[in-house]
Formats: sequence, structure tokens, C-alpha cells
Amino acid sequence: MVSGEPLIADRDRRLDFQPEHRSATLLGDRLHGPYRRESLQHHREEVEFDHDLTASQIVEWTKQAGLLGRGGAAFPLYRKLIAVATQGGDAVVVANGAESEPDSHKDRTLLLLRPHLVLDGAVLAAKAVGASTIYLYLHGDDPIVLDTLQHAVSERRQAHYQEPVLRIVTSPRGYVAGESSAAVSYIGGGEAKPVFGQRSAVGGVDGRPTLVSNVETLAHLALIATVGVKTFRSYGSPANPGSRLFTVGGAVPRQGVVLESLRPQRIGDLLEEAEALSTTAPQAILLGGFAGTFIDGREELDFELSEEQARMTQRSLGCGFIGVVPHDACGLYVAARLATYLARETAGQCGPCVHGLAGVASRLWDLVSFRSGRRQIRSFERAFTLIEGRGACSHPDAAVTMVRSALLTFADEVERHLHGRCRASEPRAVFNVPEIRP
Amino acid sequence: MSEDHPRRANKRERQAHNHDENVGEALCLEINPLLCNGHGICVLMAPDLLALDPWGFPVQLSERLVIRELGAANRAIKACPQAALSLKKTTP
Repeated sequence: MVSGEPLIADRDRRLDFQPEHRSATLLGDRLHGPYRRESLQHHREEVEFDHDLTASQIVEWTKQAGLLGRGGAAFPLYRKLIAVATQGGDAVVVANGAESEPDSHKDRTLLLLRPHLVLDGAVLAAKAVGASTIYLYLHGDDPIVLDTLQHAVSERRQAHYQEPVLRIVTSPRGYVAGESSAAVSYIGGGEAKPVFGQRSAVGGVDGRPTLVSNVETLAHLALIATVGVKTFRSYGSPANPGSRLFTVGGAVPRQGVVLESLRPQRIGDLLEEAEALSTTAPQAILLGGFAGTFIDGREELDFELSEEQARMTQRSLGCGFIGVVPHDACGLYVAARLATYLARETAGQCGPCVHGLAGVASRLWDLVSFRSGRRQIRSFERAFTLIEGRGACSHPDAAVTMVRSALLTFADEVERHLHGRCRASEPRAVFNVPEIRP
Repeated sequence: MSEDHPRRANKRERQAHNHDENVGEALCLEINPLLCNGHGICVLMAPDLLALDPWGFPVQLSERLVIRELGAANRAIKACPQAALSLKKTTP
């Protein structure tokens, strides 16, 4: 850069840039109507941006747009971009599409419907951090997504796009295989298990500075470059601008419905849109994923699905999973099944996680099968404190959050179980967790 | 001589201060949970700093080390067969 003056003026003009007839929706109408594979040409009619954007412009736009990560942690993307860009050297971008929540399908849907939007975002991110390689980390057992992305990559190659190398890496099965440090480890030739105390921004894949970002986040980055900061910020909420994908699951007529929320919606409205609201309010909602938070179904239908509300109530929207627990299900049984699943899905690396989660799960089963007294109920909290903050990744902490919220939300059910009764006539897992009992 | 001789009181205060004040930029022990296999030797070396959980893995008893605890902390670090312990700066 020879002179800073014109660039800044240029940037300021660009920040106001607001082309007409462009909306910042990820899926929009594509969610309805028949599935059609999107060609690169068709995609370009809708999404086009200045390919001469500089790295600093992309970072600045991302910052002004206020884009937060959509993988679950809601971390500002521009801070990740800066952390990797300032390392210098040849960086790597990992587009993480290995959504490991069994009941969450938003990343899969996005990849199927808008592969090029995700790739555009990854290319922009690569430019921002100075990366020559982009890895697409996708589920190995999802042939349709793999085929869609392989096709998209070859389309770009045929069109002679001057962009970083796009490589597809298939992830192994496993709940923690999609965790960002596990992805970096696996792509670098290691195991798909979380790593401790190593920042991938500093030394990630092959020791190179690495940006790991969820595919929905990257798709939003491409939208920002296309529609401009102002239009982008007109979606979402001030604390988390841009639209947001949700998956509705659990006891609903159609499981795994993916919705795009353009502005923060009440849970009730989202469920209605997914045609998942029956005449009676649900008993409870599982918010954020299998390792999310149970909240009361009746009182919390008005809960607004926004970053602001989530922070205020110390909840996390996680990967955007909204699960419905019906009135005739025993919430403790549901939680026990989830806890058992999460305990089995540890990477098996950290003692407190391996032993602690198994212990919590078996305590829950004791409660479900009427073998617990009040003393055992009180012992849960002690078990939680022995687990929290002691793993290499946040898997144990998240599992504890889920169980703790279940004991609170289903407090009446706990009471019933202490007296040898249960509201459910038969056990019902509600969510798609494998049938495993200890 | 009275116990409250100003200079002496001052000295005592200073000593107490030196011993209990956090080391400059506070230090703490960090356990790498991936490496830790629960040998438990660290707990023998630094029983005031670490304790065993029900499964035999070390739990830290305090979040910050004071100067007089550094010796024990270093002994625990050296004794760990997995090299899972280290000293880490904490944000004060």
C-alpha cells in the first residue's frame, strides 16, 4: 500500500454501499418448493461482489457488520480474522460443515442449497487472512452433501476462478469430531479429537495459522460483501446482525425442519412457522442442541430467540436447535438418554469428562428408575462442580449445563420420581439418540 | 518493647505482604487434561495445592499461587510422569 488516504476514502464509500434488489437471506424461498441444485451461473446472478476487496476491507466490513459465529459459540468473526491475519505466513481456512448434533440440519441444508455461497464466504475469509488453502470439513457419511460440494468445486475450477485451493476433507463420526480443534487436528493428519491449550490461529493445520469457521458464518460473510453492511445489519438484532438458521426437532409432526429467522422471533412463532405447535404448549423446549438448555415450554414460548435475550438469561442458542418435549414424555428419561449419549460421545481423553459424565448419567438413570432419594439429588451439584472447566474442550461443561437445566425444568418430575411415580406411561426418548442404556 | 512498635509492625506487615501477595503477574498451575492420566504424584508433592477427585485426577485447590507455594508447585510439575502440569500466568 503506497498511500493510506484514497484507500480509507474508498472504504468509507464502500461501507455505505447498498445495492438495490439484493436481500441478505441465506435460504429464503429456496426452503420452499422443490430442491434444485444451484449452478454457479445461477448463484452469480444473485451473489456478486467486488473481487478486488482487500484483506483489510473484508476485516473492516466484517467488524462493521457485527457478524458473530454461527457454530455455537457466537464469537465475533472479525476478531478471528485478525488473530489469524496478524500471524503472517501462509494461512489455512477450515470451513466447518461437520455439524455433529444428530438432530441439527441447518448446515447440511445450507450446503445443499447454497454451496457456492459458502465457498464464496470461505474465499473471502481466505483473502482476509492470507490463506492459500481452504479445507471443507464435511461429514463422511453424507454422500449427497459431498457430491454437491464436489460438483461446486469443479464448477469453479472449470470457470477458471483465481482462488485458493479448495479441498474437501471428510470427518469421521462422533459428536466431538466437529469441534474446531478436533477438525484442525484431523485435517492435519491427527485424530479427530479436541486439542488442549493450542490456539489454531497461531499453529493449526500443519502448524500454519488457521481460521476455523462454521459454514453458516462464512455464507454470511459472502452476503455482507454482496449486499453491504447496512442491508446486512437490517436483519437479525443489534447484538447479532444477519439472519439465522434454526432446526426444529423433537416431538413435532416433521422433524428436522430448517427455518431462517430474518429477525429475532419468539419461540412460539418459530414453532408455529415450522407447523410444530399443537393446541397445547409443549412441556419443555431444548434450546441449542443435545448439550443445550431445557426451558419451560409454557412460560418460555414468548422467549425471543435473540443474542440479547440469550445473554440476559445466560442461555446459549448454540447451533440453533429448538427441540420440543411433549407433555406425555418424562423429561428425566429424555435427559438421561441425552446424558448417556453425551457420556458415550466423549473423546475419551480427559478423566473428569470420561468418569464424570458417566457418573452423572448413571445418577440420572437411578432417578428415572426410582432408586434415588433426596440425598442423591443433592449430590448432583457436587458431581457437576467436579466436571466443569476440567476438560480440554467444552463438551463436559455443556453436558453438565443440559443436565442441570433438566433437573430445574423438570423439578416437578423429580419430585414425582422421588415418590415412585412418573408422568409418562412409557419411556420416550423424543430426540434421535441411539438406544443405549447403561 | 511494645508489640506495636511501628517499625516492627511495619516489617511484619511487609513480610506478610511479600508472602501472601500474588506473584507479580499472578501464576497458577495448569493441568493439561489430555495428558493427565491420574497418577496422583502431584498431589503427594503439593498437597496444599492439589487434591484428588473421586476418580483419582487432580483438582486445583486455589486459583492463584502465592510465592511460598511456588516450591511445591515446581516439585509437582517435575514429578508428573506425563508432564501434564505447568505454570501459567493468570489475568489478575
